[in-house]
Amino acid sequence: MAPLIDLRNVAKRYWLRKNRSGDLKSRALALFHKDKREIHEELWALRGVSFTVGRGESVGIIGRNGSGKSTLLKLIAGIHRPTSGEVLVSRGIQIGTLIELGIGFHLELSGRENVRLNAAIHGLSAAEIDQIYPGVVEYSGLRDFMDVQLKNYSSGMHMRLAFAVAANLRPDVMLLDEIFAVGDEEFQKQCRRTMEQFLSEGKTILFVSHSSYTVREVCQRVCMLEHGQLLYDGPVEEGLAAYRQLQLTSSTSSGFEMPATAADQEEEAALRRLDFLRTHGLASHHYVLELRCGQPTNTLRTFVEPGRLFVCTPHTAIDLHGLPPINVATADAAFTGVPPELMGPNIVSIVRALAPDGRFYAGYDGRRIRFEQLEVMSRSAGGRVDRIDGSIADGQQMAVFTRV
Amino acid sequence: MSLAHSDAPLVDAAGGHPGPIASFAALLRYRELIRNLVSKDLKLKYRGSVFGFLWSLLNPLVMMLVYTVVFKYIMTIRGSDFVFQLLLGILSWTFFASSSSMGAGSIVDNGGLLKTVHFPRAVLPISSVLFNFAQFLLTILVFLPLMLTIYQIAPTPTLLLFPVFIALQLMMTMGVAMALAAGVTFFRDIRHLLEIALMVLFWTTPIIYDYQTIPEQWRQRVLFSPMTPFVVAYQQICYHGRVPDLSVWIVAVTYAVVALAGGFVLFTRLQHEFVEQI
Repeated sequence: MAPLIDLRNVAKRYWLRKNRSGDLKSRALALFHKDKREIHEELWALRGVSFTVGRGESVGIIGRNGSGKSTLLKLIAGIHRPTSGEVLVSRGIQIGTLIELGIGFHLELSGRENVRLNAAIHGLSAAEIDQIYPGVVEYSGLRDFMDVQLKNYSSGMHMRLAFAVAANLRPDVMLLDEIFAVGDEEFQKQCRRTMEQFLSEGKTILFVSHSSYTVREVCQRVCMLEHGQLLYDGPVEEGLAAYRQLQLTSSTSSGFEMPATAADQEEEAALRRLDFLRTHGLASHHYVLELRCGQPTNTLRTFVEPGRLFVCTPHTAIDLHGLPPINVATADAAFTGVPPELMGPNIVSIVRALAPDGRFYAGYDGRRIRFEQLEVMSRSAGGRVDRIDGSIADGQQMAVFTRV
Repeated sequence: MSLAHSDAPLVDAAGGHPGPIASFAALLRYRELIRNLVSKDLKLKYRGSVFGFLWSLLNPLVMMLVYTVVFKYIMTIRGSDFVFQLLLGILSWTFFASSSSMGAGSIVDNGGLLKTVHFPRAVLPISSVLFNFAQFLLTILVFLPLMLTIYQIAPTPTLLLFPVFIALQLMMTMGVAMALAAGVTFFRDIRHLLEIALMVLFWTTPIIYDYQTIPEQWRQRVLFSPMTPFVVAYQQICYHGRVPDLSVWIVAVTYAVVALAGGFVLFTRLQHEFVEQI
């Protein structure tokens, strides 16, 4: 594959200026007060990063806040220059950046004027703008609002218009940063569809995200950054697993970052649950039974509806039904202790996870299923790629699998 | 992956350090953005107001009336024709002064844009200048014929030189705006300094007083004030109906070329550092 983007030993240093105020008063004060002096502190946002991206690749860039993901995109976009090393791109390619939605939008201008201005900011000529304009209107679904001032748009409409412009710019490489953090379900779906279509046209995507779900959906490859260094570059599943490992280990060590609050985690879990239900065509009333394996931190969820059974870790969804090579063990009489109030009308059986021998089992409809026997498909790779590693040691999370 | 497989040569993502010619070519490719930014500012200025662009004309109109009354009837030091010269001076000065202050802030005031999109940065000061230029031009187009009629000055062929000096002033103003925009990014004080400098320069330009009546030993010095050659040229062309003095030509052309070239080179040399200074 021809490299389109080539990063060679790239480093980026920022100067953090504390107490920055160049004015005379504070400079005079600084002569007497040490703590009022301007401090220049260097921050290496990236160090020794090398990788290439080929045409048609979709690369997910993961890493915690402050790990250098956005800096990486800005270097490739040409907004920043590397302190050392080289950031090379194939000559003549159009790089589209979607680092923030709606940058350069003006509330006083109409939708139409904003579309034209925004497209021009991205370097389109008048003729090119005329050409993409109908597509933008179509995509945004805001035909009746194009002559309305942007200040009368809802925030959702605003976002749709911004993304519609970005989606129709049709660059060779799209650099995306966290756009899925905003917007409703419908919008996010549209974003993902656009990205998929983009990839099917052989274009290239670099995508910064915290959502392993979207990364899995869109990317074929993952780069993980930590403190500005490229710790991992390779297949998606291993990359996401490495990322989770990183999050787990760092949450116990003295964190450089603020730990997420309990409320955040709860909300995140709820969102993931909804996400999961949605992608499997379930409704929110479907029953979710949480199962614990080993230590209480290691939560697995089981989703049950007639004829279908799902087991998943926070990032995993396995449809037990319809996957042929299930080894069904004998019913385990020890499946007890599930509170009756958890048994909704859709439950055909009690499901439970056991880890007596370090392996993971679930019972379904009176039978016991050993997970190690499952063949699992990886969605992102689009085929049967992996054998499930059914053994879950206490306190460990299962590797990530999805069903095609 | 080796470069041998590359279908196109790889180039620096940030565009390396392009020379002035490459930077100018990049600017040309972004002329639609410049056009959009100018029309955005024009629309935003008058949107929602009933009279819209008429406000731009009302301002000089009232100015004209007030000056006529003050200079002719109250202070009784000047004939009413002086108001013609005065207005020419004020309109062109306003173009220069507003372009300078708006251009000076054009980089630091657009931090969000700079941090998220890669485009030739010179687009920003240039559109600030063109926004003011559009207003200047429209006012002139209305007032010049009006004043020629009121003061019964027959148009002469020298009027054809008027656009030449307007173009020269535009060149100088663009250069100044680019230099200021770059400077303010590194030293915010320049913005405050500019306010004072503009006030001083207003009085060193023959707007309120007549260039011809300056004592000989001072006239030379006043001529070197940045806006003087242009204001004097406008007055000589439109009011006196003659070709501007040679000294005026020399200073005006020098200022225009030096400011534009210097401002543009300075700006393009420094522009890759802007984003980290904001």
